[in-house]
Amino acid sequence: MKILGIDDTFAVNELLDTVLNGSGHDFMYVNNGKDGLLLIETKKFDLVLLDLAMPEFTGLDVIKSLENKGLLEKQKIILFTASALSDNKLNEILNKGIHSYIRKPIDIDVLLQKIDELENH
Amino acid sequence: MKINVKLIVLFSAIMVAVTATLGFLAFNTVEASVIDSELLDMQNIVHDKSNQIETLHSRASEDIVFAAQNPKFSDYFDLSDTKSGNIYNDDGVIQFTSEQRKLKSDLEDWIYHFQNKFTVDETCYIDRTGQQQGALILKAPVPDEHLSSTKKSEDYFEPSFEKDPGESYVQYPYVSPATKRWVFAYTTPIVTSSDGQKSGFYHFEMPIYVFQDVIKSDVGRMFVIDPEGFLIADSNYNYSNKPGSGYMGQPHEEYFPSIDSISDSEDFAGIVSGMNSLEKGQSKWATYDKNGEKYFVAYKKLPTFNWIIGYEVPRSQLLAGENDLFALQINLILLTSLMSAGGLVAIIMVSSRITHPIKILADSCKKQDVHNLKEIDLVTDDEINDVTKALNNMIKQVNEIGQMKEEFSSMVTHELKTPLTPILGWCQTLKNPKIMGELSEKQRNAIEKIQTNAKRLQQLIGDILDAEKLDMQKMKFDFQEINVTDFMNYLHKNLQRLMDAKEIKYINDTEPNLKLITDKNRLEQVLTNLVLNAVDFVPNKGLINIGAQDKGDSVLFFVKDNGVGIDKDKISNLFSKFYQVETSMTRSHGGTGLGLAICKGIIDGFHGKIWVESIVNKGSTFYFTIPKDSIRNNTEKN
Repeated sequence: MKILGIDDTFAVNELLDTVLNGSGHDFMYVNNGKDGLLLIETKKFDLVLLDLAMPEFTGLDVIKSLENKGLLEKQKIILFTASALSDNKLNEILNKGIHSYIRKPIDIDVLLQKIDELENH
Repeated sequence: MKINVKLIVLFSAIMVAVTATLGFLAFNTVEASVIDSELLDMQNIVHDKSNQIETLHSRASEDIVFAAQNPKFSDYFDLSDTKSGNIYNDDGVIQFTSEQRKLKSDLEDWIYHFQNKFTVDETCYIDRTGQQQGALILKAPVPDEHLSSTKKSEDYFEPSFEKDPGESYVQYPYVSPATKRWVFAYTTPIVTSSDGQKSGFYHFEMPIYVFQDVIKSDVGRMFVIDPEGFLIADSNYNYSNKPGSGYMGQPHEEYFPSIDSISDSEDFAGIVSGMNSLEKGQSKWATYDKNGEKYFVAYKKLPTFNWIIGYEVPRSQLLAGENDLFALQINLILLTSLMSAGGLVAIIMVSSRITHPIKILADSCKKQDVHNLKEIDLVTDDEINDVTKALNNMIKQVNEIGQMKEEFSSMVTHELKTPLTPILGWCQTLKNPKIMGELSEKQRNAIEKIQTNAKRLQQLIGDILDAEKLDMQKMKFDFQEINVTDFMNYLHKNLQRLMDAKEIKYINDTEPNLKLITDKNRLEQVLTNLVLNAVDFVPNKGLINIGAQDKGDSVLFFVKDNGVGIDKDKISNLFSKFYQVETSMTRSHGGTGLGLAICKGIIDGFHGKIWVESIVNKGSTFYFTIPKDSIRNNTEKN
């Protein structure tokens, strides 16, 4: 799968790079929402791993921008959320059409499992 | 003591002191003026009595001068028989010649009639040799030995002869040889018509009680003091019926009371010596203490006599009948009470003005929520404003510190959490043979250990964050209706894996179709925590029983184990922060000591109750209730 990671934490990106490229996926990452949005618009990705909590342009801003441009429906997204995010707020976001989410800290096994599910869907 | 009570007591004391002082001064001023006028009255009485004595004296003087001018005296003294001296018989009786006898008889007749006009004990005429020549009732001459050792006949006669015709001399009192009464005598020289020689003097005696009649007094004590210190007259003393026992020689102290009978104090002695140094006719007044009372005395030196007339009145008698003064006293008491009452009202108003802002301040402080201190809205024009400002400044600083603490802990926990994802992620990745290839057993063990500790760190950070939130009352609950029965089944299944290592028998006893509106995640957190604790404390092949029951208004949850139990004295601290029953045991579980405190905080947030029942070596049961309307309570709170 062609996967884009949008996360401001380099250590996470580095890990995902190793894990996903090592698992046979085509993974690239950016460290901010704006670059991520630009990439989604210009290149086609099978899956976007989106961190919700980023400085300035947040994951939610990315989702809203995609929604406004009508790109959200077509785009598969797995959201990384903070553990403290309430269910209500999460549901609000998921209702926009997000496929899946993982609470931080990210469990790699769970992530791989979710990616597998989406790939085989 | 409250401030207003303090103020009231202080001001009342001042008010009473001030009004009492003013009242006292006013009363004293008025009393002084009353006493002044009373003293004036006393002095007037003294003047009046002195005038009466003077009148008596001048009458007697005029009479004696008039009597002495009778030409028959000249005739008598012109007789050659008289000039040649008296002739006495063997018995010491004067032998008169026929011519002498005739003139003497005429004089005696005249004197007899003259005397009837006045209050006179005895009259006589005395020649230059000191012999009495014309006494009517004189029985015998007065020998010198009958006089006192200090008073000789010359003492009486010489001053009498020294007087000019028309003047009179008053003798010192003595016991009259004729009447045996205490008398004083008036004398005036008799001048013979031919050569202007003083050939004798005329003499008559007045009884001393005449003065007694004059100085009678209803109020106080009136007295006459002679220069020797005797009371010649005293309104408190009865002289008249006490005849003298001898002739002129009787000592005065046997008849006249001493001045000491008025007062033997030094003060009074001083006054008496002051009296004696007065000029004749001069008057004064003084005060002295006697028997614990103040006495006023007005006194005057008689114009003619060398005597002092005094009038003594005690203060109580002086002021008796002064109704105005009594009324003034009542008025002053009334005024003092009124002023005190008025002052009290004023003080209560003033003090309430002072204490009211303090009360507002105290109430505002009491109402403060320690997690969200609000600045106190109070503006006054006094020192309270400074206190308010200082408090508000403090509140601002505390809030700032609170916020800094919050920001700091949130920053720290976030920064601590961030590296956890890669740490745990790399551990998982390392264990993934597809990515990293097969690991040796040793390598796998090492990674497991890293993972275990990283998870423990994750748990620790989570607990601290939760405790912080509960502490700041910032934990937000996400209420939704859940099927408790389904939830407990899920939880039972989800935690089953924890029981395997110890082969624990793990049972769920939850009623069917039990529903509750609550925060599912937080409820799971509480139950998981309790189950994890139970797992730690039950023995191998032990028993853990979870469950939930409908209790009407609430749902009761429990987690029961047959573990070691908890000592009674440790139960009260069980839900405190950082409290661990047995450190060694909880270490294995990796608890932070915050677990039960967080459980209690969450259940408190649900408005429920959490408690434990435990028997040592038999096991513990943790219970908690969640009211069915906890969401309503929370909404109301927010």
